[in-house]
Amino acid sequence: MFRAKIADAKYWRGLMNAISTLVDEATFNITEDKFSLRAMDSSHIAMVDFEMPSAAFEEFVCDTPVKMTVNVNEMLKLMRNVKSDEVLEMELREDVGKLVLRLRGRYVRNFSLALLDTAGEEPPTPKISFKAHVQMATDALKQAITDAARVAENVRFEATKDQFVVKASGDIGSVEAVFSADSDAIREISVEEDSKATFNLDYLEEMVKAATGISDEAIVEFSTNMPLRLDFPLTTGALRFYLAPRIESE
Amino acid sequence: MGGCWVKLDDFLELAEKPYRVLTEPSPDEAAQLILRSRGRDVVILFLRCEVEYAGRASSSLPLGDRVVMIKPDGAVLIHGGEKREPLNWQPPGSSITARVREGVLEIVSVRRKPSEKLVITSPVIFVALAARCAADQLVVRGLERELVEAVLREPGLIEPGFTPLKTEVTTPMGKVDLLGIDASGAPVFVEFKRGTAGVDAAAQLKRYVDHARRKHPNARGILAANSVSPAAMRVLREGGLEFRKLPLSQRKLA
Repeated sequence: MFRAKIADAKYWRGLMNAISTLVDEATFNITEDKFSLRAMDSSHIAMVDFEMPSAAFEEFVCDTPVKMTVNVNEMLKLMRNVKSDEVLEMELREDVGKLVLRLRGRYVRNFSLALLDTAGEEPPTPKISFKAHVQMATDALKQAITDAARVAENVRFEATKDQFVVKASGDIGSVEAVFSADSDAIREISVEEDSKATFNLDYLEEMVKAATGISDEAIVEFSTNMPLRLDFPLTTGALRFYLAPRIESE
Repeated sequence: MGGCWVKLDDFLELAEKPYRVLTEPSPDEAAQLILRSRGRDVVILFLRCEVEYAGRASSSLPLGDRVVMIKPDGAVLIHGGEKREPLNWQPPGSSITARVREGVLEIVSVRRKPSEKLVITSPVIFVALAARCAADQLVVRGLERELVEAVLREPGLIEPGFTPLKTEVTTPMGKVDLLGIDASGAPVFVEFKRGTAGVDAAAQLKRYVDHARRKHPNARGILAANSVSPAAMRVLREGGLEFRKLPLSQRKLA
């Protein structure tokens, strides 16, 4: 049995939206103490690692661990015009194969979402020792990514001891965002080893855009030619993305 | 600019195991493995390939099944089915690139100075292995000691009438491998080196002997090795020191 209540339904929608950037059919792992999901996108270029401890919910009841697979895009459709003053209640009804969503605002809205078969195992997280860690404002990261996407399909992240540079170049021109350690958008730059890596902008843009409303702060971690980890710390919980690099042959 | 997207799976797998094996990979998959392993893993490929080399000379190897090894330091070795030495190779510091051209895997290794280029083209790859190897240096033990022991057993290897007195003699300049006296009773300092003795060994011996000659002007110094470099020979001659050729030991390096 699983049942939970979230005080801010709009925030929940934001989280589901972030997951939906990579995953269509999402399998959530629900245990006594947390609600989590770890999944790769179909091309295995990116991964989302999401975790909400039971304490983050207003009410959380789960007597036996269960896996719940739903189509997140369908869930988002149902929650499209959700208000932030609406409370969301979720109830897993395995007997009828549905997840019941109840929005309590000025009146009560009941939705139900079909449960899907759970297929496959949850992947492990990549074990990487990141050489560059940049803690920064999410909106500044979003701006840099959006600018880069105007000229190119790929973006290069470069970190040295005292600065983090986001650069991209394409046929029409080039863009470069320079974040020095003392700039307003940066909270901290810590670099063990100069690092450079190239990532796909389609993925990055979606991830960062989706996370903007959820977390003001982003932790960008990477190493030369290794996957990127984008960590968006939640008040209670974690939302992290991993993105495989593009490895240049020259 | 060429390049390839890597899948996250690679990083998940390598996190668990220090190797990755692809059996009959496509040229694309093999190129990805090579690019991703650059500077990190040793890549060993068993493939059907042709090899073209141009640089100080030029050479080519016709299509055949061979083992290619690419090391993180840039070294490339191409082995056939015989002998210890590779058929062709590039030294550490060469840069490696892999790409697919018209369905064929192309591995290019370039060395700048002198300018050398090695191109391996392969239509069929049987096995590709990325292995995370330790980069430790070989620890060589007891080899000079072995030479010292040979001389202790047979002092005549140094010269007729030589009498060993003490090994590992501490002097203010450091430790000397062996101290003995010659037929005339003069002290003889012997420094041993396995293989070819270089300038360092000669200079080291010179310091011991120079120091000893303050008290014993007749002190002699002998560098005993399998061979000696010309520069080291010069140091010896200028310092009034000698070189003694020792026979190579039969024991090979581990």
